[in-house]
Amino acid sequence: MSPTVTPVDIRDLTVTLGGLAVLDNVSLTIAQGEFLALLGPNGAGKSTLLKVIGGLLTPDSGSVRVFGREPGRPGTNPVGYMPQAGAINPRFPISARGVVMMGRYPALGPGRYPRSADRAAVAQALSAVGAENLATKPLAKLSGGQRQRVFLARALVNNPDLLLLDEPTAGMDTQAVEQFYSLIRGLRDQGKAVVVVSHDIGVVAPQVDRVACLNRRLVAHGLPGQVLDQHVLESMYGCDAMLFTHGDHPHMVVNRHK
Amino acid sequence: MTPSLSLPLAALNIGLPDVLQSGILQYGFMQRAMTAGVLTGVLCAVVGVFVVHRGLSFMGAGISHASFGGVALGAWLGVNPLAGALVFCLLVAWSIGWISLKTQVREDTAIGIFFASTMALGILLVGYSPPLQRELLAYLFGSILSVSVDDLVFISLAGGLVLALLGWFGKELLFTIFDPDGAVVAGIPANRYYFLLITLVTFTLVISIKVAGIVLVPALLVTPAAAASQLSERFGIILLLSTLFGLAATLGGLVLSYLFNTPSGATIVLLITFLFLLASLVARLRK
Repeated sequence: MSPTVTPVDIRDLTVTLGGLAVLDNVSLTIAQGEFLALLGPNGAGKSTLLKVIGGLLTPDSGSVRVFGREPGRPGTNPVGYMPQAGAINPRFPISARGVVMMGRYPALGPGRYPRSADRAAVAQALSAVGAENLATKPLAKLSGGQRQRVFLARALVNNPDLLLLDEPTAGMDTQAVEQFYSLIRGLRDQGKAVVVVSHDIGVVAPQVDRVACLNRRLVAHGLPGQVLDQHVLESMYGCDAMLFTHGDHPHMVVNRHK
Repeated sequence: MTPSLSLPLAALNIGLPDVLQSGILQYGFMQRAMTAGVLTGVLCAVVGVFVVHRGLSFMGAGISHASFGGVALGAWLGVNPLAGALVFCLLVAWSIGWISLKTQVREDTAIGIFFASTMALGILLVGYSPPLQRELLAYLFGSILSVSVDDLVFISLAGGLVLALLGWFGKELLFTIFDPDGAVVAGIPANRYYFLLITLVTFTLVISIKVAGIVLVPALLVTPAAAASQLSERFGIILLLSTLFGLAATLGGLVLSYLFNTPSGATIVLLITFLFLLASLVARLRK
């Protein structure tokens, strides 16, 4: 990995979907080894921003560079992506190993089928997320949390420099969420940049290095403890909101009938 | 128009009592029918697995019905009706694909629009094409017993091309039908593979019209794969089972239609539907 190239560099990004501005003039950079959460209410544009970084959506204006290149053209810096759980048919006939192997397909190219190096990479990715025992299980037989770990393994199988995670812990219990984020922090410590999208501030804020609060515009960006004050939460959710902490676990209280 | 329709009906029920007394494969038309059945049965069953798991079953029905407009257009223009159907159906399939990807109109809505309008075009044009009026029922319900050597060459070449492309791009197609967004982020252009898949589906359907007919061919595409999917949670096994079901239905259906003097396309489709019900029952009992 070239240390000089910023993983994600977004300038003056505007995206409209169906005539509606979903993201308005957003600028944001994500550094190597940074674990960033994109926060905001439903419809705030968090998933849209993640899709732009992944090359799934083209901006209407502004520039987006991922390791200095156009998004969606992974070169020497692979990008790992975990889709939202709801975007996947959980009954698709494929094994956990088969899902992870898909991550190897682009590098293999058409007409070529996996070899022993690919199988070794898949086994290693599965063991990195503690899912080696799930390898031969069909996707349909996995629990929600197991499925998410398998998709994380797929995101990791090419040893990516940037991880994009869309609501990765949706449907997981508290213990699974803790395990998941401790895994991600380990990856961050290896120098990977990680972007996680979540609507659940209370769960994510204590886990990450920085937060970017979105409500079509970038409302705030910085360290969770400094940024998440009442003013920011109000601009983000458009209502009276308060974040308070029990030990390590922040909770948000929203008063919609102010 | 009515008197001319009696001819193909007779062809569908080709007079079998004397055939019955001798071996089924003794007749050239039966050998050709069996060969065509094996080729299209395998082709439809393999492509069908991708269709069923990408949720393109209705697309299959839509494109197949559009081929009626294509057949009529071909006949009206004086070219080979199946060649007309192939070109016409490709244009329809790509239009449906483009509309569903680039506009706010959903895929199933686009299919619904083309489904009926292309049939309507066919019905209009049939009035201008006396030769087509004679062949109408054969195209609608299949005429596997009238498969010619030229038909077999066409089925083999075009079907071989479809299977070769599936083999070459199989894993990319698998990735894009399972997780199109994930594929794009990884650098696989999912939309292009969607167009590749609907192109392969179109070829498969047009190739198989002679065997099962416009109305019945969607069953050949969808039902073996649906039956196989009841019995396994592995894509590779489903491909294998679907192929076996497709083969069993086309060959078994031909033999049954020969023994009981029934229309072959309909017999094949009812047999594969029976296999589907059987597979569903087995799946339920295993739970």
